[in-house]
Amino acid sequence: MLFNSLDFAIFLPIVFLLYWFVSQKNLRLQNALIVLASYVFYGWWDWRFLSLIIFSTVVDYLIGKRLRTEDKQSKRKKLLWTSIIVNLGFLGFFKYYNFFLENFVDAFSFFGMQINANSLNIILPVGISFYTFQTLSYTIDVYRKKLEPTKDFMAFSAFVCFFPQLVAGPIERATNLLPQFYKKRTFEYHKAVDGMRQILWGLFKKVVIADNCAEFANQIFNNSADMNGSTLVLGAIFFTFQIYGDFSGYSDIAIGTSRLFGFDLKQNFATPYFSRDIAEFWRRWHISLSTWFRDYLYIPLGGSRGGTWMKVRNTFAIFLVSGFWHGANWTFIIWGALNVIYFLPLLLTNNNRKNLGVVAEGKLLPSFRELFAMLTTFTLTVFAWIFFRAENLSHAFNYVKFIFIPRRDVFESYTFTSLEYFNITTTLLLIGLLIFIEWLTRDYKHPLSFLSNYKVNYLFKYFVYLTLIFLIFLFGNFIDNKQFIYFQF
Amino acid sequence: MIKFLKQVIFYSISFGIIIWFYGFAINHIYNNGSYFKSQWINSIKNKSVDCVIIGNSRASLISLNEEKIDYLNLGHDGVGMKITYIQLHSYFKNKNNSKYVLLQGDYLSFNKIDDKRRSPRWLPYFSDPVIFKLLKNEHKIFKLHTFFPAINYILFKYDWGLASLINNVLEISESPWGKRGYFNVCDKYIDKGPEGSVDFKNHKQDLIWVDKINNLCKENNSELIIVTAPYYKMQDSVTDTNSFKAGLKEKNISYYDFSRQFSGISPFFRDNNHLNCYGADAFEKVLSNEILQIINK
Repeated sequence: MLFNSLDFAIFLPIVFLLYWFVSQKNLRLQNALIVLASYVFYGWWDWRFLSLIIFSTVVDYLIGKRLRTEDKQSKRKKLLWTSIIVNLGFLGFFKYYNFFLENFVDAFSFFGMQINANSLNIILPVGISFYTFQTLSYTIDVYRKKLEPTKDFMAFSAFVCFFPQLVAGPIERATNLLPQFYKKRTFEYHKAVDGMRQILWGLFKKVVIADNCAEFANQIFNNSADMNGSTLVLGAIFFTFQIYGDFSGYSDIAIGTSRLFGFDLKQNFATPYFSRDIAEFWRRWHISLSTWFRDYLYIPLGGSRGGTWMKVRNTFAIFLVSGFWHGANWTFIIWGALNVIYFLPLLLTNNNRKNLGVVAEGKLLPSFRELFAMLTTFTLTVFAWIFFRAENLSHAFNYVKFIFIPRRDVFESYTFTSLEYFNITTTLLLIGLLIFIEWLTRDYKHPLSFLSNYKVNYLFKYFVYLTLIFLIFLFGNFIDNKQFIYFQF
Repeated sequence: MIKFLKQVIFYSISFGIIIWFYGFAINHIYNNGSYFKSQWINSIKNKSVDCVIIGNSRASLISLNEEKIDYLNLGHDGVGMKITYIQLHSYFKNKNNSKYVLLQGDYLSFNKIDDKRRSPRWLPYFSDPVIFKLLKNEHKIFKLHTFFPAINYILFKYDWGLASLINNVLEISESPWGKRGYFNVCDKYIDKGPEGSVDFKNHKQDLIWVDKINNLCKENNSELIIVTAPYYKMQDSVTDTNSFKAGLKEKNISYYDFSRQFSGISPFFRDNNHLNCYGADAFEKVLSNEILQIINK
């Protein structure tokens, strides 16, 4: 079920009313309703893959239970590895089987050996990368004795499949989300109102920004061989805002929806395109994944405690794995590698934790230096996104080549219609509006949360809501619902 | 909780009312526009011509010798027989008249009744009961148009997006249909060349829509003429063609078959079914002579 669909618009109020009016007095019933609603939400896409979620839930629950009673370190380790193998095994099979097979065959044929191996027609279960990481975090934290293993199977099931963040995150830690399922939730008016505001803002980013940018990003990337350099740059910028609007929009809707049910999820995006260096960017982009890799990969590998070589190795590991997590394609690995190249100079000069606060805090405008730093970081990010978006490596390299090498022959071969030019201009203006609003509200968790300030005039609030809803209606594509990009990961 | 629900209901209702008014406002704006073919047809009022051309994309490419024949082309690409009927209905409705109605088609196109693709372009004219009755089932949501027009304009953004709205309010782009309404495809398709071919075999013959259009012509003192424009390559069946011709003869409808007029002359076509501007120029001469003979009778 998509957040920007009529199905969800009907589903959400029904679950909300049942949750607060029917099951409010009984915690177990509330959790059971969440599990049921989440399975319906997921099964709407393909009910067969529910079995994977249920299997993963049962395995990690049982392993957690065993870890509670098991004191012997070697046995505890075995239990941990069982969980890792099961979860990453699913992920590996559904997401990476064909990639490894094809590369294996290619590698052998490079040395003159022909291998006959047929790739399988595997459907990637939506959200598998998210919920496997979430359940893994539970087992690892229990293993590390940072978290008490749960005895409540229903609460644990609800934690694994909680529908607002099931298919595209934020990837919640068991330490943050699971205890919320143990406590009785009471309806909080201000929390629910703020949740609605965040949903509205998320819809605006998805429907108005991402879907409109997608129109032209797709057109330009799909016809990149016929485009001139400036159009290709425009295409990359459109994709930069498409992926931001799409993914952060999804996170906003997920966090907002959770708040309607009395849950607090972690912030996943914090105005990443205002970052002054790439280290800051990674503290502000897909925060739940970055911190997951930091805590469960980077730090266990030694983090930045060892010598220079160790730091470089660990940084490479975290970014390459992060790239590979996004998809079974070399383009994602190169995207990860580019980010290492951007990040390493900061790390090696101990400048990676220089910009921890909000840019130009307390000021209306940034200094020239800050503006230059932001634009540089943004340019580097746009460049890296080309690899993320490209179909394959040769597409990516040609795209980059055609940006820098002027070609006289292409000027006549692809032209936009006057209507498309109009829509491109409109989309750029909408991007401008997004940047303007996010800049003014960069101190807040989401831009509309400033409306919770009691000083804000009621009519002004009404105007803001009306304008956003109007823009969503005016620009939203409701017939051909565009999927969220991160569903594929 | 109750306070929250009250707020949600208050906002939903108030936004619903505002959007409801917005729908009627833009419906009024679009109703008076002239950009899309549907709007262009509806902007023609109190006109009297020798001939109007109706039909699909193959009709929209037809031009006539305008020095000798006063004509209008109401044809549009992607339409089926319902919209073909509506083209003529809208023309007559606005107190226009024409001595002859030239319907471009063949027994394949006369069977095409699916109008999903272009029906949204007729939304501003759904207050006309004939148009509403014919098109209301093309999309489920059309049935709500009378009460809540905004919903259709929100959904069918391909036709009625912001660019359309601004263009209809400010008239930035001129209507592409000019004075006569035919579609000039010279610049865009000249190099494309013919592709594919049409298989006319095994198509059930159905002249229901021809009858309806013929009746409409009679009600408005006009005479229906059916013309099949040239194809690059034909694969029709002689039996079916003969039965089609016999059917029209029985109804006393004049029929002119130019389907093989330029057969195999690739410089005249942009694809198998459509003439390019050179083909359209050549066909103009041939067809104008025939029409002039009919007029001069």
